[in-house]
Amino acid sequence: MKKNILFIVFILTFFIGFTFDWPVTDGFLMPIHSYFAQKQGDNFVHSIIFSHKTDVFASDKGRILLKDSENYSDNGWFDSPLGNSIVLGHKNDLLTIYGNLDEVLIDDNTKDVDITQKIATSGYTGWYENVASFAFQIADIKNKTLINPLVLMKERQQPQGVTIKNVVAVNKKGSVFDLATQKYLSTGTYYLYREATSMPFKTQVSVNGAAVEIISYDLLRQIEDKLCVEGKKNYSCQQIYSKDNLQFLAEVVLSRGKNTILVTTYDILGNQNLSRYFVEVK
Amino acid sequence: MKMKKKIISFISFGLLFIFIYICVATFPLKEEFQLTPKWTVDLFSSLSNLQKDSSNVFQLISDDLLSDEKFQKKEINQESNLIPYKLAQNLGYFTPDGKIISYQTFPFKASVSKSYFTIYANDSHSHKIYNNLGKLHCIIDASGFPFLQEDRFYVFSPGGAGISSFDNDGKLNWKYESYVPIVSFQSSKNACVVGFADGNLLHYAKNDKKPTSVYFGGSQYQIILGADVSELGDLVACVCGVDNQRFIVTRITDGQSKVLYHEYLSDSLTERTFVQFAKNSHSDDVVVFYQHSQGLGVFSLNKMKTYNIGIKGKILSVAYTPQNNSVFVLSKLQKDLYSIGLINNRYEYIGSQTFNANNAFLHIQDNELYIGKDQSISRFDLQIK
Repeated sequence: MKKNILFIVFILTFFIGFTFDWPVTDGFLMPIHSYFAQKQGDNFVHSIIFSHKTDVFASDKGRILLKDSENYSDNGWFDSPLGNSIVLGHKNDLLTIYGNLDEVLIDDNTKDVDITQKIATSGYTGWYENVASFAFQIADIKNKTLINPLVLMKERQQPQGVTIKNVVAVNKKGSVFDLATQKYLSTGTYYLYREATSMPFKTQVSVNGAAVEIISYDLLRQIEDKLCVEGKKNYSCQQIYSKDNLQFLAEVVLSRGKNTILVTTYDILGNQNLSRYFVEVK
Repeated sequence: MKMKKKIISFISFGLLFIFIYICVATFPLKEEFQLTPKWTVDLFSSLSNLQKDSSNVFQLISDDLLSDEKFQKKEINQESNLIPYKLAQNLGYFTPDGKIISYQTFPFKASVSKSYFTIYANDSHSHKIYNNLGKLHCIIDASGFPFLQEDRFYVFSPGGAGISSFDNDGKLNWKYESYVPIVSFQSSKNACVVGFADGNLLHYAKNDKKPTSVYFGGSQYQIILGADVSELGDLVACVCGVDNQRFIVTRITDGQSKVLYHEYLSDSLTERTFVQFAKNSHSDDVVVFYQHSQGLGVFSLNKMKTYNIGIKGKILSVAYTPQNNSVFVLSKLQKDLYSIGLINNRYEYIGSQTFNANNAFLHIQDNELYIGKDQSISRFDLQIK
């Protein structure tokens, strides 16, 4: 618990100092196709991905480090998975990354861009071609982390609401129990999952009043050769989304007797949603 | 209209040949250097000579190959002289004597190497790898964008920051996920290098599961804009950093990196940048070609020196032939304007010729130079007399 409080204090201190403008007009109203740390293929989404085509603006004053707007694969170059893209360097070792662009509007002589300068139009050039558009990332080089861009925006988006549906407990043998209907379980270790229909900012699981896991989706940290979200442990994408359409909540040890499992999800504004489950453990 | 296009295509190749020939002929060479045009083929007109292969509705194969026993078995021939091409949304293979043996269009993206090709959708979760005769070789189960080099298979993850390596059967060798996008990548027989937007350069030696990670520093912003690795896998060259951009050659062995050479460049490029070790070099010297803001840099490891050549435009490909150490450079000047430059003895710039095209490629094999341009491919032979 103390570790979590310290972590939250650190995050707040860090984030209060750095805010970015939305890279799209009225971004707080713009529909989002994919949220940070959702599942994308076999990986976490590294960005927020907007649904519609839009003009793209620099979210802060910065140095142009990369503008990639051509395809040279005829000559053996690899296709950029980000599609056409721009990378800007900012103070305090932060990078902003603009992917899935259509036209890059920065000419070869431009070295720096100002905040809110129009730098591109978004397109459908990357993974979500014809489905979603502009992808926006913020990376912290010093701490080797990706930061959920929604945390650093000056104006917050209205949250979509995070529902808690179909919470299941999976035992070590892989048997799945629906906690809404299952009233009896055997003692042992279980992995709890929720249906990954909406993306929370944080999830928490308590058993009999004691918090056993808090997983935060504000950062993705590089741990060796994997990106991980932080909870009691570091969890890779394969661990969080190990089961189809399910999102990992916690590993819990259920002991004999009556157990109350409380699942809480938080949105970006701290609004919480609760679900309580009662199981008799024999 | 089609005929007119063909005529324009043939005339432009003719002019290109005349230019290169004049350049070569007038330059005071110790030995006489000859460039002989062998053939030009039009991809679309070749289609009338092709038939659909019944086992793969997309693949079109030359009539005369259909009766070939090896082809019927669709046995891949690694030593075969099939040359891959990819021009806009078309790919396939042709022979050195000018036969287009396969032609395939693709709606989204594709990757083709000498031995294999794959065509993939924008959101593919698995990838069918075909050999150069169109037979299904293996399936790679991984989300992302596959990239084939020779017989080596890689998949870039969606989001741009991860890469996986697969063996020849499509089984995962290793996977690396970063928090920043991959900007540069190259592989050779014995290693591969991955350059990231935070200045991290990864080196995977063949059969290694864990990479060597190197940060060079020395610039205001660290980013690996271009990188290549030598055939032996121990030497890595890169263009890195913005604001005090550098060209660096380093040796990486046993997890340790030792910088052999570095040079600050006069200005910073901010795009993916060409870096390539000279291939097929018969000399003892190690030569690296790289782009900088003033043109092409040619680095000699023996001399520990770089030579700068004022090639204009975005350098896309460098074709090196040991014959007289000649180097052909394909660069893109504008959206539909390309240039081919000729360098002799590695460092002596002879001249260049521009031509209009939406897509172009340059390929060299032995002493045969192949130039692809929109819908046609031409071969020129190089000789020293």
